[in-house]
Amino acid sequence: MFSFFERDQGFECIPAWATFLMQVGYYWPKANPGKRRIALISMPCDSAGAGLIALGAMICDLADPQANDVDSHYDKLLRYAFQYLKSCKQCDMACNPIAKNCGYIKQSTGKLRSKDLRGTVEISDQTDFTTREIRWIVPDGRSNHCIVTPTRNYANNYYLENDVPLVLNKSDQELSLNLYKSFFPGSEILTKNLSQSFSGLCLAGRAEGASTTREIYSNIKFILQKELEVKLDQILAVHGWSEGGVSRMAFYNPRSDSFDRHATYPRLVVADGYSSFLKVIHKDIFQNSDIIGVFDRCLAREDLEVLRELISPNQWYEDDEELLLNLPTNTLGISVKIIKRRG
Amino acid sequence: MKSTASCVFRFLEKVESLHWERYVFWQNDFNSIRTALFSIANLLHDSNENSGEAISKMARICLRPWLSGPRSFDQSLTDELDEIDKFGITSNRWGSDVMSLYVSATRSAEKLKSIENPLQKSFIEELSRIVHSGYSFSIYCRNNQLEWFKPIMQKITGGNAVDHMFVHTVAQYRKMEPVEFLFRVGPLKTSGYSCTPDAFISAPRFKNLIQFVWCGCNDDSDFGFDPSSPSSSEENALGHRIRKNFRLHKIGKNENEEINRIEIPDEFQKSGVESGAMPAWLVTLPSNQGILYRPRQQVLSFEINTGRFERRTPFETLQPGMFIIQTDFESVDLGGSMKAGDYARAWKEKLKHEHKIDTDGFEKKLVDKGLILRKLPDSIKRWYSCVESILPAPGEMKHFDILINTLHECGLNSEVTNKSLSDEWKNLAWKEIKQARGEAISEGFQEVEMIEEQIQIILSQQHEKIIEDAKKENIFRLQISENNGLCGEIKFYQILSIEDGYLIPDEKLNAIQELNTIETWRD
Repeated sequence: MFSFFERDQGFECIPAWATFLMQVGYYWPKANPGKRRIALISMPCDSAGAGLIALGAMICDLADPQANDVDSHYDKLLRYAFQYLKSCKQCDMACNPIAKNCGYIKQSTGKLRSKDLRGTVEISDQTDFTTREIRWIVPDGRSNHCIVTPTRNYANNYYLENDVPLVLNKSDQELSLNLYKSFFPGSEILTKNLSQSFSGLCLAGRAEGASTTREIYSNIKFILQKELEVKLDQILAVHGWSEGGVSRMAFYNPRSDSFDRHATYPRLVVADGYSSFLKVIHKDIFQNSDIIGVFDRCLAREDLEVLRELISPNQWYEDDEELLLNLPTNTLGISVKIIKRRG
Repeated sequence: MKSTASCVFRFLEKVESLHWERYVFWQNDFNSIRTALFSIANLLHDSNENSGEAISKMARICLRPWLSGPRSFDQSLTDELDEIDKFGITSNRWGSDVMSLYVSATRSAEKLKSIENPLQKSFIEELSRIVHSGYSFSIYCRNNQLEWFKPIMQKITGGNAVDHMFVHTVAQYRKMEPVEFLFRVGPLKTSGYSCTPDAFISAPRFKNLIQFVWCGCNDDSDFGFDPSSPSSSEENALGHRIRKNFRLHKIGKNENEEINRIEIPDEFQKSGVESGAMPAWLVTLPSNQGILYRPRQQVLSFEINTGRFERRTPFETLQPGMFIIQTDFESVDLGGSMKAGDYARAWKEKLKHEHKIDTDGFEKKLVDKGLILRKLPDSIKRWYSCVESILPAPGEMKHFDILINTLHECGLNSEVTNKSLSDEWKNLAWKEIKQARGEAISEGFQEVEMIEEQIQIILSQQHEKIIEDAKKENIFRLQISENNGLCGEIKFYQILSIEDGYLIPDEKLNAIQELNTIETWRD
């Protein structure tokens, strides 16, 4: 059983509002592109609600054998190589994909990192896209470099520069099974997922940026049987927020309009706050993702009207009352609206 | 420090039902003034003359201080009516009906001088009761209404500091600690002068709402709106399963009196506003000045604590105490022998000529020299086009450098053979482009990113001086002399407060104006 702290206020167990939000994430159905859902969760105050929903969704994903980036990793490397060789390598501008309108979201430097070795290897122009064979150059410290054609399995040891490693290196610890299982004791967490990254879940931070988002989440603290003390930001497995090597959710920063990794098409996006929800719902890359927006309803009427427009049934979307009934009963003070794509 | 979410939820659990006491006041003479002024406003609303419209507007808004605050019926009421007369209402110009309505209003105002304002009396009584019982409370009012509330508060609390007891904006409400009582004078409207956060009802931070209104001033029927709430029924209106316990107190109403049967106007009802007018938020500045922005507009601003220049949104990230940044750029003296615009004309003509006679060859020359852009042919066509105020040209100096060198080889400016003279020509041409971009900035044509980039470079160069000035002054200027192609001054104004509830056409936005002028744009 967890005790719960918000700033310095302690509670014997996790309060109902926080439990409800974690359950929303945990019980959110697996996304189906044909039945895309958009939910808007209205809170009576500012909160770390989006982080709690993301935590619930992440724990649910830990039990899903398909919730890892392993299968798609080689394709990701190929896309990265293609972007580098066909576009970024020739580009003479300081990288600004939006200004250049090149269709990419982040620069491909052509460099890959090994999870175990220092230094980088570089994508070779001998990469063959017709046979789907990646080739990279390994510098040997002298003038002679060798070109490597990795197998799919071997390629899993390498990841994009400025991205997240796919699997743990020798020195990193995997995510804690006991910790995550304690939140939802019935969950069947797969141990292999604890050491593999996943980009199918995305947390869209606050409009103020990543550091503010993290700071808000760090105010929430869980203590498990007076032994293990963790902060919400540390257990979300966002790349760079904790010491662990793998990341179980992508992070989108609405302030800088950037991702913490190369192109991903997440199946669920949790948006923190009014502005973040607005950015996410209009972003091309999320057009097939389920979206859960969490906002503090202490807003000006104009802003509330904007949200009403976005969450009202229309010719493409209808109310999803079925899911609303299947989710846990909402707590006093929280309201939820869900729409789903007609079809 | 604002309350934690857990603290707010715990408070909501304790609030079994929200007690809402609504005091509604009738006073015959005051009602006479209201109906008279409302009629004048309607009669002159469609006047063809500006002064007629001005009278209409003044008649519509001049009683708002008494409708929204605990104000005495004293000389100030007569003074407000005199203000209307400054437009010549007592002349025969507007017709005898307008004249007699006005005279009737002034007579009633005279009578009221000897009468205690019943709303003010009740407000003081209720507030005193709460203060002396030791309950926690807050008062929601506009920032510029403080002058009516503060003296009363200070009298009741014995001169204690009272500022923290007031809440003025939805942003402040969001950070408000839960209290036992919340006081509000005026109707609960979703926009306009009596605009109140919907969160009053959808996310209460109080157990008891004590509301004082004059008869006729109705709350908006959909007040308390929450876009995620599935039901708007009365039972569930407080949302989220918090029950509402409503009590109505009618003060001064006598059904037998004829005047009490007359329909009383709702001065806060949205009137027909000028076409094209859209909601705006007021940022109040020192020296009785203010500036109106569209809701959610990003405003370039400076915060002294962090020393950061950023685009911030009023109510959200833009807060009182920060400085808004206004620019006033003049044209730049380019120097050299050619007039502004001549350089661009020269290189653009040459570029067009060279590109037309040998398109592929010219493009290849540029690529060979390192000007590699994805859509170079389109870019070249754009560069030699002419758009007023903005000179289409390569975005980076190194690209412009390649372009001019190539054109120079093709015979551009053939009289200049000396390399240093050639470089000077190129620099002046580049300066001209930057100047054109600078002008575009001040006229609002260029992209937001462009403004930010140019101004932020200048601001970062003067960072220490700005911090120093900001510590001493609430308005200060920074002279810019030919910095990055911009010449003029950057002005900093400290924000005193931020308010919503204005309706204004686009052309009046983003300009610093007197508060008295801005007041006429009240919704």
